[in-house]
Amino acid sequence: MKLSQELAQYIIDYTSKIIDYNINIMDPNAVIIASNDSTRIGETHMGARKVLVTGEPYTIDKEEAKKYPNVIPGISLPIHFKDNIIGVIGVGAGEQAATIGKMIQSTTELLIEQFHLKETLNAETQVRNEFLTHLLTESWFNNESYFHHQLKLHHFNLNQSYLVITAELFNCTFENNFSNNYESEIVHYEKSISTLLENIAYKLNYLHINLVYIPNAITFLVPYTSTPEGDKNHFMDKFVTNLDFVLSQTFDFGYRIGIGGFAENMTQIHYRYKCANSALKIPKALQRDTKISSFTDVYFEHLLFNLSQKQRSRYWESIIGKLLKEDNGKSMYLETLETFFQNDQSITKTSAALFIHRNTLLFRLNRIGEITGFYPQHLKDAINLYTALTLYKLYQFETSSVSDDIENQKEILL
Amino acid sequence: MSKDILITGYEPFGGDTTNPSLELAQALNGCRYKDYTFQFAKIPVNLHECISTMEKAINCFDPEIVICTGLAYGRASISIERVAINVADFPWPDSAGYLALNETIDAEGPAAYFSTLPIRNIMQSLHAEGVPAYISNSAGTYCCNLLMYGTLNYISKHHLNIKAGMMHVPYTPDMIAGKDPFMPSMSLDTMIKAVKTAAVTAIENPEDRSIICGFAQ
Repeated sequence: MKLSQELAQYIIDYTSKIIDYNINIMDPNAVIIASNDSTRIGETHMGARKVLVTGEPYTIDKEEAKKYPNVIPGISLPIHFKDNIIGVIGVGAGEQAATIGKMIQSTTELLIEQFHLKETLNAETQVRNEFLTHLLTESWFNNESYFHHQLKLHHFNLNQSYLVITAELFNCTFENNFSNNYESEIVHYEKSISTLLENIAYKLNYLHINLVYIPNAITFLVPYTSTPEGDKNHFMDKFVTNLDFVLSQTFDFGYRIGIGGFAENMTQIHYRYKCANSALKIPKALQRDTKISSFTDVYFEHLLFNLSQKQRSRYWESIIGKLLKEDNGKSMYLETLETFFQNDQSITKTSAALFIHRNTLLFRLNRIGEITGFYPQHLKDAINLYTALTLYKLYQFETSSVSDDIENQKEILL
Repeated sequence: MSKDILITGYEPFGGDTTNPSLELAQALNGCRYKDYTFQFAKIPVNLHECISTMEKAINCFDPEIVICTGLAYGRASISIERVAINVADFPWPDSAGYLALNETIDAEGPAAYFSTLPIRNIMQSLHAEGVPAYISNSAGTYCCNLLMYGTLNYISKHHLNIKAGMMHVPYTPDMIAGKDPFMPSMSLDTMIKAVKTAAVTAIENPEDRSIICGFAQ
């Protein structure tokens, strides 16, 4: 392990809080890389040169110090890591040099050991996160050997069932309050995300839950084991309620939850992840203001979205094309129709939602029937109208400025 | 298996940028005592969301002890609330601008609930720790009373085995510096110690004793 300048300075700052002596840390070339006297950084340290030759501590007493310029009495000690000398620490502690020096040497070695352990654990976590990200975003069958290998490596059970849920986060940034001298911005970013995920997982308190952060969204893989007292829906409802609570407590800036459903085993996780994304994106395309949506709620729309653009346009134009012309840009009939479907074809609820008299509503519904040939109160006609309306909404979404990002649209189509 | 102690605090309100009740709850988050872990929940100062947030927190954490904390204007000591009444009568509007007047919190609920925390034991423990504290016989009629009533009502209706109550804390010195020189205040550290001590007392001495003038009988 190489002793970095940042870690060396951290050790100096840490020990300087405990004792008030001049401390320097030197690299294996005896060059000072950190010091509580910053003017000395870059100088060669005489005591360190002796230590690096002998491997033993070297003490400079008052008499010897007088012989050299800029040298004060003290002790230089080797810094060991796994039986190697990775640097030297010099303490200008005068007569107490031997005792104080030993103590500082131990503290330094402990801090390095701790740092190394943390780095190793971080690296393991990073490899695991990378694997989980692949598992979500790539098809199992395109990378089967890689996934099998990773499953073994991370002790996952191929046949474990998982509930897959994605939370989309609004305006979530981790770049703020960056003022740490000991780590790079990217390390700070990774740590912030890792701390955030740990906190959420801790609050949710589900055994072996996995959280995966992909910019602006967190995906939750919740292991499901059937229990006698509850079924899958109960398990899912309870988790979503708790998740909604924990997210509301964690994020002030808002979020949406997309429920992908249960992956029967790990090969289905990618599919369920896509379902969760559809559950988030389809309501957005249809301008439905829903905080929590499930793939099962949008399955029908999802199927429609998979038709070609030509097929979709031809369909809605043939059903509601005349209605749009009649509306003449005011969208009165369209709004009536949409509200009618949103309120489960209830005359009372729809007239209340539109602030109109029920007779006005009945007149409009009848007029829609006359114009289109499809009567909204008849089941089969309603299905045609609902389908056309949904496809028209998608057309609007695709041609609006919101949907400039073509990749975004493609993701809706699984 | 770890058992949870839920400490709740209110979001900053009425132009304040901080709320010591929330800060102390956050400071205790993740702390441990024996096999208990402290959890926190942020409660909105809002008639319509305050109790539902608490219900969600109880369902999420399944705690054994719930201590609600709130800020009490002008109080000099930690107030351990004895009772919550079935009334919402706001002296000023909540964060949604709603002003409840002579409202019943739950039309089917009892007139009042007593704290199920060992309030006298807690007071004695706080005094032993050097924290000024007293038993308050009114939690007011604003959101703190609402939350305490709502919490005890939910626990009672669902037959949950949870001990719950409310503690009011004074302002912190920084909140009143340069404003009102006669307004009492208390350091956040003392408040944190007080709430932690209260939770530990509720675990170690859950059965309340009858104490007169500080002497156990």
